Amino acid sequence: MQGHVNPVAIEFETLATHRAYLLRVARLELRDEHLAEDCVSDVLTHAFERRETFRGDSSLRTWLTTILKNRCIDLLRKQWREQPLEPAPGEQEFDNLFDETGHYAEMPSHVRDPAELCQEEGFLAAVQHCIDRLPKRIGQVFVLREVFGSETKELCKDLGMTTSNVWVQLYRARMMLRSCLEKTGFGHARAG
Amino acid sequence: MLSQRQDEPLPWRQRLMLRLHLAYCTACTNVSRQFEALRRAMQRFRE
Repeated sequence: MQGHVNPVAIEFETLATHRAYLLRVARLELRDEHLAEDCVSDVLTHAFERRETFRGDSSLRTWLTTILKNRCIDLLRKQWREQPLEPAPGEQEFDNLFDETGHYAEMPSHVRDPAELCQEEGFLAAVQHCIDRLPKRIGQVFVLREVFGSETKELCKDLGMTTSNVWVQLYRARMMLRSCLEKTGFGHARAG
Repeated sequence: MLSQRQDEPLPWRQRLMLRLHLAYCTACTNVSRQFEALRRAMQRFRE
């Protein structure tokens, strides 16, 4: 290893500085502490073994994130295959968001400045809390979309879902999250 | 539609309908801003 001439010499220690970040994202996606830790170890080992393939045209973190995303998709596929579909515990909660005429049961609160709100640590913590409370699969699809930036087409291909199903899952995720955030996260942003 | 437009560009007709609707519907305007805050917050997990 020492004698290997490599223009992009990456030390394992350099990769490991991204561990905390990778772990945070993996936990959010996989919803399992041990699985996330194993997954991140795999990602770092895999990245180190293939460090020659890192061309430096993206940042190291972006490269690691792509490896993590692919690893997570493999794990999700396996999980989804092995575990029968959970009875959606969010159904009832979801129905309660609207009244019998299909309108919002409660007036959604006003967010003065989304750019400002998302900088608040309290809001971020509330978002994390609410994501962890989403039905598992809905949360997993949502995190793939919003954190890993998967497009609808990729989600369909990677998870074997139809386009309309992906849209429904993402819609549900957003509606349940906004309902959950009404209770905590958006609260302090209320006008008046 | 508010959710879908975060994932795909809407056809122009739907985009127009949505704009018209948002012009008078406070509830949907608020939800739209909530979605915006949510999206930005999710991007912060990548920092």
